[in-house]
Amino acid sequence: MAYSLSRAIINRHLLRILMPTSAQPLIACYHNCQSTKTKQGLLKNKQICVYPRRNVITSETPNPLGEETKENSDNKDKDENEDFDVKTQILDQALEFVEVYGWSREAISNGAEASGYAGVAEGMFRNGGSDLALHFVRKCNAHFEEYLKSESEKLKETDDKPNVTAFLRDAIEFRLRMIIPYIGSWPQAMSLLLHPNIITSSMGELTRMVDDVWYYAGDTSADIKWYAKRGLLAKLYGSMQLVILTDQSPDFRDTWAFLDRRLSDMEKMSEISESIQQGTESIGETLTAGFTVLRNITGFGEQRR
Amino acid sequence: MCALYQQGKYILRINLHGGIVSNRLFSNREKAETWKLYDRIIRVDQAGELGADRIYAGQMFVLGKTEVGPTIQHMWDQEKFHLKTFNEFITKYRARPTILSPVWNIAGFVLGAGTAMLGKEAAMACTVAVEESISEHYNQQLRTLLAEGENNENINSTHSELLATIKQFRDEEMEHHDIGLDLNAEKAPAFSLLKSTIQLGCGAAIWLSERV
Repeated sequence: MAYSLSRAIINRHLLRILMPTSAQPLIACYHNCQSTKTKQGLLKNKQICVYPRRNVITSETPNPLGEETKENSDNKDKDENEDFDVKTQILDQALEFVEVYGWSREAISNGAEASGYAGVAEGMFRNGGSDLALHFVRKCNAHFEEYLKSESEKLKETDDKPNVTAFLRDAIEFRLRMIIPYIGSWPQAMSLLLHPNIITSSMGELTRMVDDVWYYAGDTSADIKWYAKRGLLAKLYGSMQLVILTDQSPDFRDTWAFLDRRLSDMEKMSEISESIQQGTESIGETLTAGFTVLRNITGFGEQRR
Repeated sequence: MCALYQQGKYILRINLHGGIVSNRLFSNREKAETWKLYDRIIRVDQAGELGADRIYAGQMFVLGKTEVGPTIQHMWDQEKFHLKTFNEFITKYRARPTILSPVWNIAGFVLGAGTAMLGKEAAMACTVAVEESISEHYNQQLRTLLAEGENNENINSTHSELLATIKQFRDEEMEHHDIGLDLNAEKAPAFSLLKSTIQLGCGAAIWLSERV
């Protein structure tokens, strides 16, 4: 026990020597420890304090069912916000290293060091490169939403018949251009975003983005069309990502041409479906025309003249 | 599990689950929970009004030319206004409509036309059952909104539009319920069976629309 404790102390000193920054998390040391005795030793030295796992309750644990007072939840919000700020800062810096290291823990580690934290802070991110890719997507979508807000103002100002197709085209082009700086490593990012750990979050981001686009385009549908529009746009965005990855033309001209063709197809489809709907309303009348005539002749018909 | 390292003024709190809190749309948890509540409420109310609109359409289809026609038309017009309001709320509060709206569209029309074919009293019984179910549901929503408003005093004011709308609509639905009773709904064939079946269906529709 003394041996493992002294090993822990030696490790701590080693860490201090090896780490360039002054923040020296012992957590990495703690969690790399194979023996529980060393862990207990670290705890006993009061160097770190660890909240126990949920299924292990000792006399020292704070009551997990403690009152969620307003103060408690305010503090929790504050803590979450602090957490969030630190993580955002690290991931923002990490984006600079994506070109060299790809969407990986190395990039996050370098980002952490660039923000003044220890490189091992990348352990904060359970999903590694996926978290970095998700953060990038969220950042892009937040920026995209501001663009959409300003474009939708312009859309409202101009004609009385707003050109939704042009709005969609400009919006999708704007959003796609955001991935151009990272286009070399984008296939890796796309596959990371489909990782089971974060697929719900990344799909959530996609649906939110697509909902934003339609909302600012002025969509007011409230039935199955709501789903049809968003589904179509999500599919379009997915295929556009694949197209832009294989595009070698100058300034991605071929991609924008592809986008124009897909949007004009969508327009044609919506026109056709509208005309079909109008057709079906009159089909009923057409089919029952004979009976209507008979009814009118015999006098049992409606009194409309 | 959380680890806290403290040395001097450096406090680094590390959450081993590594989850990034989604703060893009909301700056704190309370707002996110309010949006979830609104999304659910508006979705189920819009589905309910769509169903009611189609039920009255079905009833008018069969009974439009009879003596109860004008009454049903009046109730139908009020329901149309309710539906229009909730359609606007869906856009305004960025709520998601229910994917089952085609189902409620057809089912409502079939229910309205079917009960109307059983007779005018049966149509009124259907109205009574549906309106009672909807009023109780609106009351439940009002209670939820008021309770939520009490917990978070700072955002109580933003519930006011939804509260006022639901209150007004609940009053109108109760009016329809009373009109139905006045027009001899209780004389319908197998009134209690009809009423409980329809209310069971309404309960299932409400449960589904809240989630899907």
